[in-house]
Amino acid sequence: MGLAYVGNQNSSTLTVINTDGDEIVKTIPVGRNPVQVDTSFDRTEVLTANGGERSISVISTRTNQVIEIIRNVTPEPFGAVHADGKLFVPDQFTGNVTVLDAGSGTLIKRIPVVTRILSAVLHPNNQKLYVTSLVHNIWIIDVTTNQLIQSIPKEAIWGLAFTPDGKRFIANHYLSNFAAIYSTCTNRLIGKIPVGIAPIGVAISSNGERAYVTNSRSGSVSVIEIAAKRVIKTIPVGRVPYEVALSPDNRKIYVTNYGGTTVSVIDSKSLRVITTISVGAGPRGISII
Amino acid sequence: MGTATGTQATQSLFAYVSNQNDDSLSVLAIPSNRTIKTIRVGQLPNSAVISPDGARVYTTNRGSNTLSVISTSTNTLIQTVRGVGSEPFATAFAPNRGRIYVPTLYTGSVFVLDSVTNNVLQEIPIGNGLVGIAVSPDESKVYVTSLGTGISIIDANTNKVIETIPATGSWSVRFLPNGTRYYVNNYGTNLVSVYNAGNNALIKRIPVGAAPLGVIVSKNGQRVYVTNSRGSSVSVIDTSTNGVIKTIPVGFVPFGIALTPLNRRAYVTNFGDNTISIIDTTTNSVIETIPTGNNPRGIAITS
Repeated sequence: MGLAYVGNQNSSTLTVINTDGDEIVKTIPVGRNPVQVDTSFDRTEVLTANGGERSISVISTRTNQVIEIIRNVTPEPFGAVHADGKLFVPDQFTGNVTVLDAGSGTLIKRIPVVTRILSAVLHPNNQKLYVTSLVHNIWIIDVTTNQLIQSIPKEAIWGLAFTPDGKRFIANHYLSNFAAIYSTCTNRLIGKIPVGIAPIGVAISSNGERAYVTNSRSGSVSVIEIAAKRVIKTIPVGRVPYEVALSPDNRKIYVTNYGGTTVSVIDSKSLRVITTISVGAGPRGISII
Repeated sequence: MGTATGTQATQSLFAYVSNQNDDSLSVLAIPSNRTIKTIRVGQLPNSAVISPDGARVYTTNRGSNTLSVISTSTNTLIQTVRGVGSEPFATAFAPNRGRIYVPTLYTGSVFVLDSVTNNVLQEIPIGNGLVGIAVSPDESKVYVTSLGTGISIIDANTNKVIETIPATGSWSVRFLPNGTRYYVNNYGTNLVSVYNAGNNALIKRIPVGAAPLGVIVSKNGQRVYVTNSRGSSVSVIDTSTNGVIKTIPVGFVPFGIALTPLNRRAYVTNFGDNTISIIDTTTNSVIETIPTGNNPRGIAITS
């Protein structure tokens, strides 16, 4: 059984969905305005970055209860990535990544990165954190030393996802409406794929063959065949689709429709929406365990 | 009170501050700077603007995806406007046309409202990530800034985009009162760009502090003030030379900015540390710092 955790920004709740039957298991009140949902390294905890109250809620995936609230993190937390016993919290307005001790929640460091940070994604080797920005470049933080070690010249990128082997990553060029496949080793462009308008979220299947991209202004999801470097299908979903995640068996794709109150569930074989689940208002982040 | 016929009555001024993380609008009396009322508005109010007639305050609420309309005579919420897309970001008025324009971040459209009824009349699709807006003083055009589309210019008669100026990462746009020039800040490149409003030609790029967000022009057209969100400062630009004449340290993540009617004071919301910095514009220094609600963002002052 898989469990999908959906952060409803405007209801300040987390909806838990059983991905077998697509029924809601529980609705958990979290901090104000959760903007992103991440999981702990061992997936025993879910972390919501609460943009409306400077906090991070920690939820046990065993009990589905809030077990901790880390407060006074940063003016507007935009995610919480767990790596090397620490939490890395990007903030788009301060342009910093705040590093906290994951156990105690105490501040370790604030790393000035770049104006308008949009996402922070851990490389599968668990050593490098890739930070994207609305302004320019991809910024790489060494999670062991908490140092900014590299900046890759690129246009503004929103969502980014690695193939499971870590050799490639797909980055959504939000401003120019394409998804790009890059070599992680050389940072070179391998394929430039036109998608829908204003692509935000991206997820890659565990066999590394497909990528799913949310087109926020088109109300659709582009399905990319990575080897062929092309879109094989565009699936209409709800208003302002934002984040996307796959069920553990990869049979279903879950899309948060931030402009409404639903999650669209896509069958990965037929590439059709098979059900639409009513959640809270402004569903934005999603993580599936 | 009321006996000294030779003295002019002191008119009360008020500042309206949207506290994003409290879903509230604080009313501050000027010059005491005391909060006289806190009004509950929609979720995550990210801007506050006073209508040209001074009768109403509008907040855009990027959480509830609404506009809250507040009467300035009673300081109460009188209307909630829906149907303005996903994350409305700002409002601009064309009083002679009876129109209000609202750009929306994720929908990427400008919504046109009737300024009397506040009904949504039209949605104009523009581009990705709309954030700022200004109506030209003659009300012939509407300028929209965006994260990625550039500056889109809408003909206010047809509500169609007639020109798009490339300007990646533009946040706010403000006109000189005489309408000859407009100032746009580029948060990604730490610049303020000055354009000729007649032909939309770039006149100058002015380096300011890091990640400029708020811009305001003084009513006499002599000064432009810019909040540098990552620089924790305000840049003061002399419009005769288009040079920065002073950089004033303020609080953490300064965001919104408003001027008192005679341009004597500038009020700056510090989103990062829950304060307002009050600047004396004669000396260009902070004379007072006052606490606000959580994450103060938009600010407007009555005239």
